[in-house]
Amino acid sequence: MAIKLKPVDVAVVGLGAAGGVAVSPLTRAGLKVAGIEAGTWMDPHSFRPDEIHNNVRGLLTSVPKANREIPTFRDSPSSPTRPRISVHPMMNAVGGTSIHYWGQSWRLKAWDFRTRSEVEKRYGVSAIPAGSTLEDWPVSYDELSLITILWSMRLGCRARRGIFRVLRMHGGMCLNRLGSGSIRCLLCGGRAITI
Amino acid sequence: MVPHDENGPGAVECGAVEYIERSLGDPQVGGKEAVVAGLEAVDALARQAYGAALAELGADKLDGVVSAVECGGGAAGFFAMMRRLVLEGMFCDPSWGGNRGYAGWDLIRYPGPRLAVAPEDQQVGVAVKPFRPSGGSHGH
Repeated sequence: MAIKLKPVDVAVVGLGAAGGVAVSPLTRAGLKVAGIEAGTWMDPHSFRPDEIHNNVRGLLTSVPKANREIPTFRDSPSSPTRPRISVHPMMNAVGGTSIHYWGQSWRLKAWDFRTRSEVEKRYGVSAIPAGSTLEDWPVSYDELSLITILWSMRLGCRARRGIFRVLRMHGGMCLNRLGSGSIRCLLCGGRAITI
Repeated sequence: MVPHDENGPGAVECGAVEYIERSLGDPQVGGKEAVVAGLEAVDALARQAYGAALAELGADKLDGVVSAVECGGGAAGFFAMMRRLVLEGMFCDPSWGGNRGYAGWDLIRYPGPRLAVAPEDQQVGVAVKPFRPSGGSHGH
């Protein structure tokens, strides 16, 4: 039976790298936000140092839902479709795949948004094979630059090597290479602690 | 595949058989059909080479069959698959059925997984204290 919940200003469907992060500025702006997530909350015991659990069986990441949703693969247009290459590192959980991402947030360059145009300009139209699906992004670096800088600042990105810290994230742990200063988890507000 | 020798226990003593049986018995893991097909192919190889079932061969002839399978005889990829399973069974966390009594980790002098290593554990020439929480209940 459907349960009717109290109305909110915004309902965010999926609390992964996009939705989970979007909650923060919305709540800071004073909006009532409800987050809907199919996965579970991870706790420290989810992240056991066990190769059979994590690497061989993929039990931490390759949950059935993620396996149904991930893109399928084909070696060539005529070969059969395979569900996945191997154990897929996608996660269904509050925080999504960002829970175990490698703490590297590469800044895209202006060129990266215009891959097709720039390749054609530099190497000629014939450099791109016929039938290639390569396209420019519909947005430019300049349009995204402000939000990119804000994101980098919130994440604690820095260009040079920093010290390693453990970022406590919603009960789990995330190794992150961060700069100095007070770093807080974007999602739960947990404080980074040094090991 | 990994017999007992002067270096220490082999795969069977390390619990690899129980690991493999549990692994193949778990429908979420799979692989049972491939193992059965591989064993049938190896059995056919034994009957062809020695005129006897695989299970009836003595140790010497069994070694000959294993060598033939390692060189590509029998089912394709069977040796690599079994080797992987045997090594998993020797060196996994004991909660999966293998590495009985941490015999596999003792064999390779692996103290156990830990997130942080104390300075006293990093001294040259000093054996690291074993860190072995009971199977499957790793805390932090």
